[in-house]
Amino acid sequence: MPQPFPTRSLSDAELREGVVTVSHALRAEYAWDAGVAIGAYLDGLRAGRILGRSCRRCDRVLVPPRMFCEQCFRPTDGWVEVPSTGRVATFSVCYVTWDMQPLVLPELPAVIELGEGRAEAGVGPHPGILHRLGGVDPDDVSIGMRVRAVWKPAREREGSILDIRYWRPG
Amino acid sequence: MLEKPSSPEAIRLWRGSIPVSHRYTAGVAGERFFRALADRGVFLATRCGACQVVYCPARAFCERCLAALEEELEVGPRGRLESFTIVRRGLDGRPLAAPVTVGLVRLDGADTVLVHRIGGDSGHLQIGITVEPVLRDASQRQGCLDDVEHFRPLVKPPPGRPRGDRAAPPA
Amino acid sequence: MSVGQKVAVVGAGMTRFVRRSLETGKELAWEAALRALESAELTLDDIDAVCIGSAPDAFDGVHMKGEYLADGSGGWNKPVIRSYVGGGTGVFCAIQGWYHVASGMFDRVLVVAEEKMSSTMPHAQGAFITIFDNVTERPLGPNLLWIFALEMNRYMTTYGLDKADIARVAVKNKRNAAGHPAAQLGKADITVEDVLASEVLAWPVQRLDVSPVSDGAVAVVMAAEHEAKRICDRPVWVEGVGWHLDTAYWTNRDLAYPRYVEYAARMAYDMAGITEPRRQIDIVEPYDPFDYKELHHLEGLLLFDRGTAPEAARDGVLERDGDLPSCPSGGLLGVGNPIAAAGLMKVAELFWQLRGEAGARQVPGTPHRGLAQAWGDLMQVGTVIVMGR
Repeated sequence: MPQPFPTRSLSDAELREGVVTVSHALRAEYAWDAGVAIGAYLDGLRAGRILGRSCRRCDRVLVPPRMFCEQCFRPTDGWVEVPSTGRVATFSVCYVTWDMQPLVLPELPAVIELGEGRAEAGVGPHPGILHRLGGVDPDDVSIGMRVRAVWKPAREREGSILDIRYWRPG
Repeated sequence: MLEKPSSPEAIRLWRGSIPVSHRYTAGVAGERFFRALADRGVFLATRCGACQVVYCPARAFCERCLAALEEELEVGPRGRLESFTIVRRGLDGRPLAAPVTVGLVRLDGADTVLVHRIGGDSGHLQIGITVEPVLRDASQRQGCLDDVEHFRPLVKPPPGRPRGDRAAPPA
Repeated sequence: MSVGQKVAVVGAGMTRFVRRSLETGKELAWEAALRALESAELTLDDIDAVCIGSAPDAFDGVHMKGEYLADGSGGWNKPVIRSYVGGGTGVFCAIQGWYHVASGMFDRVLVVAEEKMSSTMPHAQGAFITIFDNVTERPLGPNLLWIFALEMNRYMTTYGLDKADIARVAVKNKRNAAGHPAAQLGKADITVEDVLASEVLAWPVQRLDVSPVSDGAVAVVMAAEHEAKRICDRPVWVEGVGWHLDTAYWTNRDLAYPRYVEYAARMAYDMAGITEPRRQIDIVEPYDPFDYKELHHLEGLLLFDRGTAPEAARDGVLERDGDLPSCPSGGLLGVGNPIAAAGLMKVAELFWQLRGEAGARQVPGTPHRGLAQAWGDLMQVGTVIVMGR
């Protein structure tokens, strides 16, 4: 292969000693409309319920809910309340923040598969959400483990995914 | 099909932001341009001999033929005002405390323009006039466009009424 | 199934991949574009159109990054298109280049991929946060490592995989990269024990499982058949392309298997007339931002049965002198990961390998056909290109 171009690598020292740089903080703030489906989902969370949308053609329940099924491209058929229990589909034990600073206590992000899978009527495969595990030692977590949501008390719930504090074994 | 919300309470706003900031290097050519501005108070350009184009601020390569540009020269300090506008509102849409005039300046010897603030009485600006840079004190220059306070017209304003509504009529 | 005109890669060039370049993104794009044109002995006047690939604007911190990069990419006064599908971009923009020529609209196209990740403060990860759903996920304070860790755990647990076999990929790629003149220099000789002892970031992801963050750019020249044979003594033909985007609802999918890579691969294999990929492909450059991803992708590419790529790593099959050399370039793990440029680096690697020009990295024998694959977004996109002599 031809020699690569001799791109100039900047050391930390060079950066400190005054290579010309310009800094800029992006001031991008947003106010999003949560949308029809997520708006109702958030209302459900405030009421202590997890809501999904059903797609009859695909025989599945969609959580997070959406007003259209992206697989068959039809409008979804109706609202379904999904139990706030499920299984750990996967999890991690995370020791760092988003900017790579160490955490004092590790976090346990997880994908929670809601309901009981095909066994339970009306709940199709893989309605799942990203959330956090808690009230459990990291060493005791396993894929497939049953969990249930630990909700904030009603007066503290705001209509947010954080209305569920975390998911614990049980 | 899709349901229209029946009441304003059903519409829900979710607020958030993008938490990122950046530090940009000036680049290989930018480094030379801004050092020259800070240290010597001059404007560096680079020239493509094949395309007969002079770029200011200095560039590392010619955009037309991709040649590496080694030939450096100083341009300006004076230049031609190619366009200008008076800005009255800020990024948030609210009126500025004082209007700001910005313009495009083609320094003598360069084929490209740069953007900067235009100082002096905006009422007497015209496209085509000569402008000159007002540089900050050498001790205050840091190697950035702000090392130039602004460009200002060289020509004295003509007597009589200024044009349009860009400034208050003379008393 | 042949589609349009035959298209070949006739030149390639790149910058060094570095942690932080003095060069701006424009200058990086230019350095790669210049090297690519020089390698094909062409001037910018010879180029009919430009295809730019660069992943999120937020890395370089420049809005409308395609427009920003256009002049460094040779786009002045020419038709320009910029595409992006996250990490899949590096192969995706090569696919744009392919159909620009295959369509018959253009005869010689320059494809340029660039990324300058060092601009993002305090860490490039900050620019990734927005990949998570703004309402249902971001309040949890996620970071990018989560999705890799969640996918890696699911993959390992589903198939009962041994981390040591996965770690072998990091060892292999760093060693392969020692032969790459553009590689972001780090420690070339790590061991499996080093990987397994490295800091746990988000279990099961450890520090040495992860590719470095980089600045860099790569460019290739593509040409129609009648041009390719004039420009270049050994053109490398594009035999198949494929791309596929899965749903953004990643928590509703099984992460153990990248089905979107399979769909993209089938599209490319169909076009190339490949019915037995394992037998008919000599070199593979799967996307390896993390060591387990190389294996995950090899399975999605139908080169190994699900859950069996790690034992291939253990058995030496994926080494440069093995039965199916994988990432002989050194990959992202070894050379560096400027997101879009990394994928196009794999395309350039196939160009050099199939012409016997890969120097210290050369795969022995006479490899005839190679495949490069990239991946990106929220565990979502597969992009594939098959090239041959």
